[in-house]
Amino acid sequence: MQTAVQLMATALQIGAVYILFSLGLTLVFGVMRIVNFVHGQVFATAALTVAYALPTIAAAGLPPLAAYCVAAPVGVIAALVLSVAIYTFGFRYFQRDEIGSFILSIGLVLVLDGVLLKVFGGAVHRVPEVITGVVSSFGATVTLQSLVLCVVALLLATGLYLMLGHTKLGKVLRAVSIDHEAAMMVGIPYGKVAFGGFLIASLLAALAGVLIAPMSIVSPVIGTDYLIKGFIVVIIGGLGSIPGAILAGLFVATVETLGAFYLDSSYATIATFALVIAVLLVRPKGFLGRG
Amino acid sequence: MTDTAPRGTKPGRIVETGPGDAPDILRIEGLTRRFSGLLAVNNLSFEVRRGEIFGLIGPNGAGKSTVFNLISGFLPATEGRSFVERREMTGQRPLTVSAAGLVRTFQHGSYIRSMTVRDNIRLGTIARLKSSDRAGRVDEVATMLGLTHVLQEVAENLPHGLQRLVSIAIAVAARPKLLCLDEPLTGLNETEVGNVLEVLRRYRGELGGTIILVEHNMKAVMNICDRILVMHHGALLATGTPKEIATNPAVIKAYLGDRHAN
Amino acid sequence: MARIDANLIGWIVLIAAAVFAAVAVTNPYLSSIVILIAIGALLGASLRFVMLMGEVNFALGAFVGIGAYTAGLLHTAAGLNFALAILVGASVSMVVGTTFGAITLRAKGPYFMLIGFAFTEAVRVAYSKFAVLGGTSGMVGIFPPRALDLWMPLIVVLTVIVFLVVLAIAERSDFGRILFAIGENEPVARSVGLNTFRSKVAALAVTSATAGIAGGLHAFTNNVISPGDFSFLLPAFALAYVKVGGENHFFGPILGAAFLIALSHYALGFGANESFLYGGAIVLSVLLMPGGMLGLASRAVAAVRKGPSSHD
Repeated sequence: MQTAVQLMATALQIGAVYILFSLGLTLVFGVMRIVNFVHGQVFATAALTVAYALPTIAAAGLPPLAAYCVAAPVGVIAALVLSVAIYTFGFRYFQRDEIGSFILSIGLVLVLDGVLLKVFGGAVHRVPEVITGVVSSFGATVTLQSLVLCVVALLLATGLYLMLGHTKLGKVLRAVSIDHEAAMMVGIPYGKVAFGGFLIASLLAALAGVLIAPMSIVSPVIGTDYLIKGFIVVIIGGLGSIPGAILAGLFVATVETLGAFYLDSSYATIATFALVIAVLLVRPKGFLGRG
Repeated sequence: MTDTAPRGTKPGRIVETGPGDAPDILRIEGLTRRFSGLLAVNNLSFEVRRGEIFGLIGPNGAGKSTVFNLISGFLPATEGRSFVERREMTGQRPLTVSAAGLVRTFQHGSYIRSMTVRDNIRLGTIARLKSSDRAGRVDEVATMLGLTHVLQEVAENLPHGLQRLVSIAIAVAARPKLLCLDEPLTGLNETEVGNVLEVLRRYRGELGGTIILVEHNMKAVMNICDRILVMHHGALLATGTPKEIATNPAVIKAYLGDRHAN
Repeated sequence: MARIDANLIGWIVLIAAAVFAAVAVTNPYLSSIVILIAIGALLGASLRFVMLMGEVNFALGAFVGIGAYTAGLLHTAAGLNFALAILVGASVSMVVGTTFGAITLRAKGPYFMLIGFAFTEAVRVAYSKFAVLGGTSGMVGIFPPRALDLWMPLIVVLTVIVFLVVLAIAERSDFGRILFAIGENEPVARSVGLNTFRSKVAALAVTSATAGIAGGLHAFTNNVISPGDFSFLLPAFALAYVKVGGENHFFGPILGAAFLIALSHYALGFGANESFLYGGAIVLSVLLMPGGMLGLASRAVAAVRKGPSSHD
């Protein structure tokens, strides 16, 4: 019983990051019909910036938490700058071109992998714990940090969901993703909306990166690792569906946690891939998708 | 004139006696299609007789193209049955339906833009004809439709009228028993319309004998169709000869009403 | 008429250049580059073949790997000779590819791309599970017969040319026309009775077979293979060859492979990162020259043809 709860807790932690990461992916696909592989790099940029900056700032005398509060926005800004550049010079020209945007994003991934390697070096960064302490209940122990992460992830996901459902921006985003031609005909400025969607998605990726930095080992390849998982989540949940991303994020995290516990992690990976293929065959658009 | 059974097909259950002598080549019974609450096609029943040119008309949104999608197998029906030459085609996919002899065109761009006219027409022959017969059929169809002089041209470079003829040629090349044309005259000028109609009329026999035409061009429809079916809000409003339809008060009301609404 | 001549000339030049390069180049380093270009050309052409029907086949990595590992295993464990090992490897790859296609080709566009991506990565992880395949460190000792050592570049080049010809013939046939129609306007193809699903699966069969050949050739010329060789990067690089060379012409991926592989080896001398180069090439060609190098060339030729007589 104890193990089960602990496993669930672990799955929840992992799931939280997956969800944050995938929300952006699915949003971009829903609104712009773009398969955005570069999402991982935006995430990685934020994470790496924090991983790099935090020790430096901490060395200047600030306590870890405060240093984090300074480094985090820097990370987010760095990631957003990258994202805006990618959109302006690239994806803007490939909206609704699923294959073209995919090809472009593959190219960008390769380029950015090289760039990130150059800028941040190949070494792995370990960020000191920002919030110390653990929480124990129901026989499970989680670090306070990861608890905060889960809470934040939940808040952001809920916030996004509410925003899409109840704000003007949200309505516009949804209108565009359902029928962009009709949306344009009623005067919705598609270009601006698409950019807005992309920005929100990148912000989510940046936040995910910033949140994960204190919790795991950050290396330049972190983007690709999460990217593959992120796409699995998005496919299962349905390209374009927010609730889908949330449910699938938890689901994939659970499969992985259980797989790693009972078998070993690479079997878990294979299992997840097989799962994706199975889901795609039964429900080609994912469980809740509308691509 | 009848071909040997097409390769690799499983025709629907044969309901009555030999298909070759059935008077109706298409029979629809209670065809219905619902799109989450919206009744696009409502309990439609009709027959198309062998050898006639049959018109399917109705105001915008009446459900005409949906009917085409249903009978050709591109869309499954919610209710109802369809028969091609007495063979049940209900629920069958385009592969089976076209093997039974029903070939349809599409409203927009029913051809391959980047391929030459020759290759486009050849596409229609591949499923139906042996490899050695294909080139001959292409030339035959091109002559029939007056496309011989543009066979080498890439389809997207042709004027609109010729592109429409290419769409028809692709379908004709497949030796259909029932040719279903979805708005073949849209966007054509008077001369081009006359040309297409002349082609349809002159080669009615060669084209496999029966044509169903979905059209908005009233003049053309009245001109060339033997019988017409008028749809309104997905249901059958009236059927009859062009003269009967033109003087039918319900039809006039449906069209005038809609014209006022637009 | 002029079109056909240009193609024929292209083939003659290609074969002549390839054979010349294979035979006349004696420097082992340059020879190995010739081999890499040949294999890369086959990979690019295989990917492009499926692109004819409008799909990007990211499962290519898996097909190449399966061909390579099967050939390698048959040789190291069963002592099968080099030619037979590669052929059997390609056959296995073809079976896998056909099965994969039959299962997954109901999905299209981004879904098919992502399934292929997932498949390639899953298979990559799977190789390391089998000790007989060498686990994560890979398989070693895959050598062609000693006597053929000097002839390997020529053998590789000729084998690649044979399969390029196969792909070219397939593309020109009615089967190729069906694939092209599927890529542009599948409903029209279906409306005239074509079994488009079957044609798509057949295309996967062809591409997985040629990919398997490429894999086998890679195994025997590299002598060592490991799971990392067959990740999603493989189809990504193949995509680069196609996009840079020009996807609208058969010779595009061949030109792209030659250009990028030569360039990357030149640049490696300066410590440049391979991924960065390929990525940059993809980005630049996608943004600036959508038709690739051959696209630019054909537009230049058309402009020249219009020539001085057009002053508008």
